[in-house]
Amino acid sequence: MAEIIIPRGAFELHLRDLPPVSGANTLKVDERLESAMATVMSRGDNAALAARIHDAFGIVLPSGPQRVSNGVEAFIGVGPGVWLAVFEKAGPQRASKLAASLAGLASVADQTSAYAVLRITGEAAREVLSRGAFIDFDPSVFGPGSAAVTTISHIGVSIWRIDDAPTFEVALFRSYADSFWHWLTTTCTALGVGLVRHGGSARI
Amino acid sequence: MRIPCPYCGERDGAEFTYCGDASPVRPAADAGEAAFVDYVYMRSNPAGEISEHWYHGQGCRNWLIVKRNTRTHVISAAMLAKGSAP
Ligand SMILES: [Zn+2]
Repeated sequence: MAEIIIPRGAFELHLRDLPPVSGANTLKVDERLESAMATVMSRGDNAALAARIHDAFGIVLPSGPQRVSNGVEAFIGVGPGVWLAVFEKAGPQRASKLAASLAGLASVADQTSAYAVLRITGEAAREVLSRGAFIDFDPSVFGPGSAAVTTISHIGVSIWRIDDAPTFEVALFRSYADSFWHWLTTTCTALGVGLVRHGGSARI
Repeated sequence: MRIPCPYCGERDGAEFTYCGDASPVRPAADAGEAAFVDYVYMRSNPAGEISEHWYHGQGCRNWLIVKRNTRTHVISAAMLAKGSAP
């Protein structure tokens, strides 16, 4: 009987076929498997919620579509009064601990494993993403810390920029991973951009 | 068409769902049948500026009130419907 392999990563079956070394005009991609994620919806008092989050994490909760990180945790604005909380290490009950610490101020829903998060690094990242999302990725308006909820190839995505490499992360419902991968590889082929697996340890 | 979402910024019209005239105000529950027929069916269809509901379902997932000119399609304002309802 054939061995049945069910990978944990939504992109794993694609990523494992990529070459490990980067050459000219390549994008490094990899999936974030170790992080936990939850939606945080304010129950109305955004100022009190921001104060509680600042006390707990030292993070200034963004009021717009931005990502603010303390190196271990990050809050990403995805709508008025709604944030995605991303924790570098999943750990047991991460979302319920967050819910308890924000009790009365926000509703928290665990999204770990609901979203797949693909990290994309390289010079060509902006051009590739620009082929899919109809938003402006120019560094003057979408620098590190910028975030957007939009679509790529009809797939709902949340995109945020991490650093100057530039590194972007794209979060999407994991069942769309194959369709997103199809868009990504088709677009990279059209632009003459190669894909390699990120490899190195994850930075935030 | 691009719609300037007050949260997300300017976005492609395909991210939004149109939901008609934003100006009708729901009558009181005891206002009677005629008032409800008016509310549900009667529209003024102006040639000029109109307030409309648009839902940013592929973005911040909020309802907007968008002021659009039906002659020119120029959008002069967009605000979150929450808190802006007449
Ligand atoms: Zn929006």
